[in-house]
Amino acid sequence: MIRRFNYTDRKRITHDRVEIRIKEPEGGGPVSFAGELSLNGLGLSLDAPVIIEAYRGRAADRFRWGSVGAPSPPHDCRLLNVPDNPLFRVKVSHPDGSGKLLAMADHIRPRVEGQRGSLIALKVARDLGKEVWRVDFGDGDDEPILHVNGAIQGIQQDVLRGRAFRALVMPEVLRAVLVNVLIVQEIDMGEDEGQWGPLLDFARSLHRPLDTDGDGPARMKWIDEVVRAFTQKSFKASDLYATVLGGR
Amino acid sequence: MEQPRWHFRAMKPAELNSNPMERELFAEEAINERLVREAIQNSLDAAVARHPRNPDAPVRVRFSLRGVHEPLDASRAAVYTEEIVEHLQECLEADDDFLDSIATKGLLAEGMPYLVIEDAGTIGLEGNWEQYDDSVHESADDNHFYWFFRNVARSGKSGDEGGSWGLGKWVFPDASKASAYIALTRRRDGEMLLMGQSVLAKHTLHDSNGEGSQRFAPYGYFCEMPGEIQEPLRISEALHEPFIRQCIEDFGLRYRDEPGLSVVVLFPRTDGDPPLDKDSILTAVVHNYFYPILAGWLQVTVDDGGASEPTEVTGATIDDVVTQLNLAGAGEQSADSYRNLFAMCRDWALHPEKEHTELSASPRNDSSYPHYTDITSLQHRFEAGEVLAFRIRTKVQRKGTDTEEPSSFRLYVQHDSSLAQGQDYYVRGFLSIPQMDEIRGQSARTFLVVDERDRDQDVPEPLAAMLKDSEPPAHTIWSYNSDRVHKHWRSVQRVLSEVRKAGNTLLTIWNSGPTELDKNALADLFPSPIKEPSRRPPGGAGNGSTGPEVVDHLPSHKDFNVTQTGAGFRVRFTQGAHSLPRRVMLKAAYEVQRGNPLKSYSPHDFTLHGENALDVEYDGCRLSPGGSGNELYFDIDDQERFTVAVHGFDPQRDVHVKVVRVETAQDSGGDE
Repeated sequence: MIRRFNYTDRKRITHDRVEIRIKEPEGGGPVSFAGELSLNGLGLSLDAPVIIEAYRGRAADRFRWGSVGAPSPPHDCRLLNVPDNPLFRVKVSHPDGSGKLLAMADHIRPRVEGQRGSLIALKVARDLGKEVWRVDFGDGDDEPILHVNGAIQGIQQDVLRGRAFRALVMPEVLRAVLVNVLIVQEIDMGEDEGQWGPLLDFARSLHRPLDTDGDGPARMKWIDEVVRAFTQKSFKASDLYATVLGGR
Repeated sequence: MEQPRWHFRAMKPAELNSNPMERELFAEEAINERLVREAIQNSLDAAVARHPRNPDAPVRVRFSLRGVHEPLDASRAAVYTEEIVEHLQECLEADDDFLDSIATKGLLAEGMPYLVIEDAGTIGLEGNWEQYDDSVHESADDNHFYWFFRNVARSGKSGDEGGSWGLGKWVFPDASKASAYIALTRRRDGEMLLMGQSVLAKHTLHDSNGEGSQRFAPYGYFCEMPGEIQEPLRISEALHEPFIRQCIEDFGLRYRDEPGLSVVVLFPRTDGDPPLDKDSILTAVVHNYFYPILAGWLQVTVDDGGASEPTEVTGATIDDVVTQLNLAGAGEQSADSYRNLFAMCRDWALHPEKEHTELSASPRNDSSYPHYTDITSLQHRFEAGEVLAFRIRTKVQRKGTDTEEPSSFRLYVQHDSSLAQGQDYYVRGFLSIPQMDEIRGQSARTFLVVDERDRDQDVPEPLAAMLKDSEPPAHTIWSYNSDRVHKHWRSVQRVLSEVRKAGNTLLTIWNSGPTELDKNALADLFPSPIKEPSRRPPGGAGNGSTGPEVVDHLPSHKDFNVTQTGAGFRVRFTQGAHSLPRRVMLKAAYEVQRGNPLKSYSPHDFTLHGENALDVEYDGCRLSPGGSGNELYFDIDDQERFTVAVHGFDPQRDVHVKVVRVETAQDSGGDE
């Protein structure tokens, strides 16, 4: 089991108290965001300053959000310094200016207005050489992005609609992501609140979780089962591939 | 018969001094543009009142500059300038050359130059000429004479018509150095009415002996005034008929044997920049009305008198006209650009019955847009230079209603690698909207048409009505900032943006390739489980709250119970647990903001064994150090007594603890 202790009495702001919505500009340009916080019941000082940070990798944009008792979002909430697909954190610090953290929420995945979110983003890349696709994790533990080779005419259309491409590639995308999270990063299998909580929720919905945290081989075996269930549910990939071959 | 003359209304002491402000509303456009634009718009609107647009009976508009080259001689001109000059002199600026000319030579020393603008194929200024007000009890809906002569900034035009502000007629006095024109209209019943109007400023005339003065209102009329209302001359009145016949002859009016309106602009501003001459008028005609001309709804003649042959602008001649005009450069208004646009119109825009690609919503460069694949599949046709035709659906909603009204617009797009800048043209009904510029840096031309009526159901397109409300009085742009559109319509920003940016979005999809990063493209396969935010009661954010304080809630675990103790923690077996392990591994590390803290551990943080190790107490087990400084193993001797306590962590940092069972040879079932 995993336990985390903080000895500074810092409160944890649960994700259900924070709603971040990404707003795409109509005419292009940097995206902005809107935030809604519910900090009541945490026992925080009303004049404690609140900050919202957007971050990906080591880049971050910081926004002063007024105080606990008087939230005051800035007029300009454009994300100018962080790459696409950022996560967010909320920090409440001590009103004495010492910087001591009183409460925090981290790894908040924003919603995009009017759209259903995906655990894995898609990017049409220009630097893949002869590779068709690759899963990118940024600095190693950033949100995963499926890169596809933009030099291939019509590849985005195939990624979105091509049954054969999806059946052959997407299970391996899921496998690559789970291997990175559970084998490379050794994230706890039971994680449900952190950065990888939603992904692991998704994986656990496909296959019964391990009773224990599991070592490497056990986790690999579990990943295989998740990918098998995903393939069976979404594609029946072997049937599709056989159909494609039969059509030649 | 009393001789008609210019009448300016004497103001009473209580009346407010006020000058007309129409000039400010049209100041951004050159004089040829605003004159041609508004004059023809009035004619086309007058045709709407007669019948739907019909290529078999086009509206004909004639601009005659004959009177510029051959002014009406002074003896004849005096009839039309009776009693205007003293009012005019009071209102002209001191440095106005025209004032200087009047002062030194007199108004008619060189005769009276004039410009004629007349139309046919319309209905003329119909309605009761005696009406001077409109109300619920006295509708003026079809009284075109009333709206033309007796209203400013008020309009009786309906949704199908191009104008709507009631200010466009100001271009006639605007084109005159004397701010004056005379209008002669023939109606369908054969009646002909003649009246003139001058738009000066509030002014004061003094008695010749300097003892008295009188204020006058800015608006003057050339008419008879036997009572309190201005009376036009009527051809049905025997005493008026000779005057009207002479007027037709004096100004060479050609169309007044059929219904329509002739406007004679007195002393036209032909020496401005640009000059009001044949080429500048033709240029403005092409610029503003190429679409109804190509459609056959409109024919324009520009007659330079004896200076050159009249030029007829029709659907058949318009290509030659742009060739002959001096349209230099490579921009949207160059001859080549126009010819390409005309071809696009003839092949597509004038044929809404042809098959268009139907888009149920305005395009978005986003894979979740329902027609995204359809659009990307057209890329090779776009790159081949084919004209691509779209009919795009949208919805608009009037304020005060609960339902959205479906509407649509048409968009034509063509790639042209010879273009350094994109060229975009917009038309609402018959009217070009010239100040729109949404396609930049794209080698393509686009043409967007908002029809006034739905072609299939023959009902007004609400989108056209909404866009008209978004236009300024000069109807030159679809503006987000119009008070009028926000007053009458909902979702203005969305709809205007959809329409204005539709072309650019399509080009972005094709030219830039797919969106670099799409966060939602794979949502159908890897949906992000959306946890609805809890709806906690608002306010009461701080100390005064009554809810329970939230701290790290511990997920229960079937084997272990790990609790905080000061700057450390304690591990026990969970009470009542079964199949407890014989061996346990414990790992700890300081929490990190990113990644796995156990992998980020450094011996410089702390160690659990060896020199300078933290204080580790244990009972009911034997301790073995692990391979790294933060790892311990415990072989269990007494499961009930088993306890491990670690103290001495940095209280300023968070601690991450992992406790797992370790499989031994004695364990059965292989569980950790």
